[in-house]
Amino acid sequence: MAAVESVTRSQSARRPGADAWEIYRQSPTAMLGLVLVLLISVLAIIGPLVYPVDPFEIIWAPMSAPGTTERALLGTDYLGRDILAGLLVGAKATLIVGLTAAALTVIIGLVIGALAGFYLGMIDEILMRVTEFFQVLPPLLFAMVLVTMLSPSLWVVAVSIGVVSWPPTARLARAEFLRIRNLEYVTASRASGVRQGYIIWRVILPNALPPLIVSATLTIGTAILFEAGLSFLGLSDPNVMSWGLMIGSGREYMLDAWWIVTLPGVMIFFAVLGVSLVGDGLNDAFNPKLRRR
Amino acid sequence: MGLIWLIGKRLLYAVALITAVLVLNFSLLHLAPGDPADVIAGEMGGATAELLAEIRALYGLDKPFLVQLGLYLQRAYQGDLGMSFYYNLPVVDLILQRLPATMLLVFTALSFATVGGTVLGVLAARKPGGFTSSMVTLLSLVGYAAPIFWTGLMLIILFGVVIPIFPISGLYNVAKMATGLSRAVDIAHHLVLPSFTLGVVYLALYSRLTRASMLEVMQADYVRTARAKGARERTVYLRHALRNAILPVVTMAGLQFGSLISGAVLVETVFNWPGLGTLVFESVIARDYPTVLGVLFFSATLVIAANLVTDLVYRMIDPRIRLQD
Amino acid sequence: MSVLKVDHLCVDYRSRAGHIRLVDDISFDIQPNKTLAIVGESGCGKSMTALAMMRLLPDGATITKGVITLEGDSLTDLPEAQMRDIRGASMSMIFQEPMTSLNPVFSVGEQIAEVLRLHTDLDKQQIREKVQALIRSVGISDAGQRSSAYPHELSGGMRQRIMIAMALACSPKVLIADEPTTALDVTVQAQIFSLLRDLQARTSTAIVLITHDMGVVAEMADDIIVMYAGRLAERGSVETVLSRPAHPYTRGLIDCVPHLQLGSNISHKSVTEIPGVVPALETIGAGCPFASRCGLSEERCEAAMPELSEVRPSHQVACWNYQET
Ligand SMILES: Nc1ncnc2c1ncn2[C@@H]1O[C@H](COP(=O)(O)OP(=O)(O)OP(=O)(O)O)[C@@H](O)[C@H]1O
Ligand code: SF4
Ligand SMILES: [Mg+2]
Repeated sequence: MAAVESVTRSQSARRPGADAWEIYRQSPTAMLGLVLVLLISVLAIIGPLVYPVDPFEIIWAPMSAPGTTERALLGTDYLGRDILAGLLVGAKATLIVGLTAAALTVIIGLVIGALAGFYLGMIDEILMRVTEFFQVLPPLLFAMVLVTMLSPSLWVVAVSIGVVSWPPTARLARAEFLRIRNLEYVTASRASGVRQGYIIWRVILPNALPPLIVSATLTIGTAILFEAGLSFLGLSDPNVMSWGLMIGSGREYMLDAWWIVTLPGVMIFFAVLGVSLVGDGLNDAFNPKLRRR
Repeated sequence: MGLIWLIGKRLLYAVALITAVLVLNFSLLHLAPGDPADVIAGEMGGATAELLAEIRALYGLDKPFLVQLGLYLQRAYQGDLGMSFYYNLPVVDLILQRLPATMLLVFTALSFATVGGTVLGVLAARKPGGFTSSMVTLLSLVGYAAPIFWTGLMLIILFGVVIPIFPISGLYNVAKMATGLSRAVDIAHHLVLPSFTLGVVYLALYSRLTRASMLEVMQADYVRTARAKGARERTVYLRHALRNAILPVVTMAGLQFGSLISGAVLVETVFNWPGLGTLVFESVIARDYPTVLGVLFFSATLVIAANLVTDLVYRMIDPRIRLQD
Repeated sequence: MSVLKVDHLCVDYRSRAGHIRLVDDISFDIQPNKTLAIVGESGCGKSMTALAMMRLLPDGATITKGVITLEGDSLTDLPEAQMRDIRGASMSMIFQEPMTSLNPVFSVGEQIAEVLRLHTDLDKQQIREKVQALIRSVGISDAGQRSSAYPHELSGGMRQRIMIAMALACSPKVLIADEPTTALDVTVQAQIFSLLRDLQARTSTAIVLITHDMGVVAEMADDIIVMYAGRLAERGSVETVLSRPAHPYTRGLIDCVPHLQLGSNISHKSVTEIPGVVPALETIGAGCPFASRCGLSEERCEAAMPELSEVRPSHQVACWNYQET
């Protein structure tokens, strides 16, 4: 066991920690992504505290343009509700659902991919067939069906997104596990009779982490987009303000009041952009050789 | 012989997948909260007693689950996906009415994305640090991060209000009552914004993919051989490199057909495009489950068909896997 | 009358890191029907010299000095379009890696036909016949079937034969073969070389054969140039240079091949390797680049690069302390 541990450690010593950060720091786009992500997280966490306006409350004349009233800096929607309050409170719903869904995606994908890539044979065959089956179902459509059949709550939305989006993660995890399981130090620890669970999660997983972290980051962006799409279609909890909901409910009025749909969309755009820039930056940081692609 | 055997095997697997989708559909009907008869009637307890009795008889809801499933599959294979009690039409008829509009939208967008993405990617690969290349990078970031329905709405504001040159809603102009060629032109005109909205996301992705793939392939030994033969740079790019570089794009396009259909649902909703997307949206709001599941089934079938086609296209381009598997 | 003449050729590589000389002042010429061998350890610039002759240097590498003339016409300042007419026609090249030098998505017959289409006016039928004739001429039976095969269906030796057929399609004046057998196993190597000899006897093509195998040189070549770190170490007829090597490096190379040590017992001990490694090109100073590994090195070797001097007629060496043997 000690031998395995030292192997694991020597492997993780090669794991890009400080080096990766050095590379990451030098990319302006990656830093921009980080700034965007931090900014939006700060908005979501302390925004509503600093600006405690109920986004459902009617506070001013409907469809007041941004800058025309001090009561609502970014204007009001078709009912006279404060857009700024909606953006701040909506950030929370969007991010929470996005993060939860991404976490679920990664967990499901990782477990399935790891088992398939480690055990191979029958288990691999079955799990990959299941993965293929899930890939046949158009993800958003499938999520719509799940949400409709269950109930439109944040939890259901998050779980549905997770259930429809794990297959690519599973394929990636499987490929990584397949690659790593045949490396010398893994073969060595297998031969020395170490428990399989230990090999999977403590020996292989740490070495498969870099690509999985990148994919997990990008998954957050996709999950945010899914959440926005579902709320846009009116399939999320109508009592929770979110950016997608603001766009969906405001779209009939958008030709008269562009800001109602434009501003929340800008927020989604920057949130997803930030996350994907971070993902790209991490990718470059973990694979310095592959840069410029 | 090899090819026929291969296609046969693929078709068999496709049938298995389709059956699996049907099983999923049927399980969802049962998993939904409430009495399945109510769920199928779509009115959550508000349906008349006769209707419910009719549904119970039709689906055999008093029989064991597996028998019910058997009945359901049997009817599905005969082209019967149940009744939409909201539209009062068989689900299959309803879907077949809407399918052409969706196919038109999806294939226009797909062609735009693959052709445009390839052209952009090749141009970008010619000068890795150049203008086109930067545009591809920018486009791929924006294309990924902008929610597709929002892009659609922004285009509606732009082309409905600011520069009104494209129609922003529907498949054709009902008031015009155009026929023949002018109707086709009218539809094409209506198609511009929705297919652009849907396609540009994938165009962004494929251009980036093509660029990376071209840059890699241009380093290949056979590209050097082509040059050593005295081929023009154009020929080297378009004949020798592109044909190899396109392979990952084909794979990606096939893998993403499901997500393309997902995108179509949103785009159709935004542009009131009378296809499966608007149908599923309306049925979701009306809780018309047989229709919702019918659309899921048809879309999954489309994806399966698209995967078969992708597989064949890939084999046509790449002789290395022609006879494998 | 020499068919190809290389005069004081220099190739530089420029990158952000700096600027290094990959090929430094190389001169040689070749007669029709003769074979010139270029030998030297890995990285000494053999391939760069060959690629410079084809004007196919990789990005960043350029010819900065010297002239290359083919039948009296300078290639170095020829416009690219005219250079293309020469590549594959008057001068062609085969590469080290037969496994990757053919385009995987075209049949081998098609790839040979492409050269003919580029450089001749033959019609389709004539091209088809010529392709088959070429495939037969490189010793492949059932040419009809083989021409429709794809590269992955052929062995490495077969692929290299196809490359040779492609290179000889337009009866070039000069054929450059860059380590054509390194990737192949020994029996196949022998076959490829005897094929090249037969073809040369028939076509009087001049061959530039790049190799680091002195045994191959003895068997194949008429003249030899020995390169070290981008520079000429020794030049002369094979007969002279192999039996009476003047440069310590050449002697080292010959000592690596047991059966060439004429008159000595072939024992395991006599197989030596030149100690040390080739210095990185950017670290080479003003002196002899071989100094760090040379047994005869002395002060002036470190200080100044030895000029090429005549040992005897048509046998030159760049060494301060060369020994006449
Ligand atoms: N694409 C390239 N860009 C820059 N430098 C290169 C490139 N390819 C090779 N070099 C460098 O040019 C020098 C000469 O390389 P070259 O390929 O001519 O060697 P070689 O004699 O053919 O060796 P080998 O026997 O391994 O084929 C080497 O130092 C190599 O590092
Ligand atoms: S010049 Fe000096 S160092 Fe160079 S090969 Fe001759 S003896 Fe050796
Ligand atoms: Mg070489």
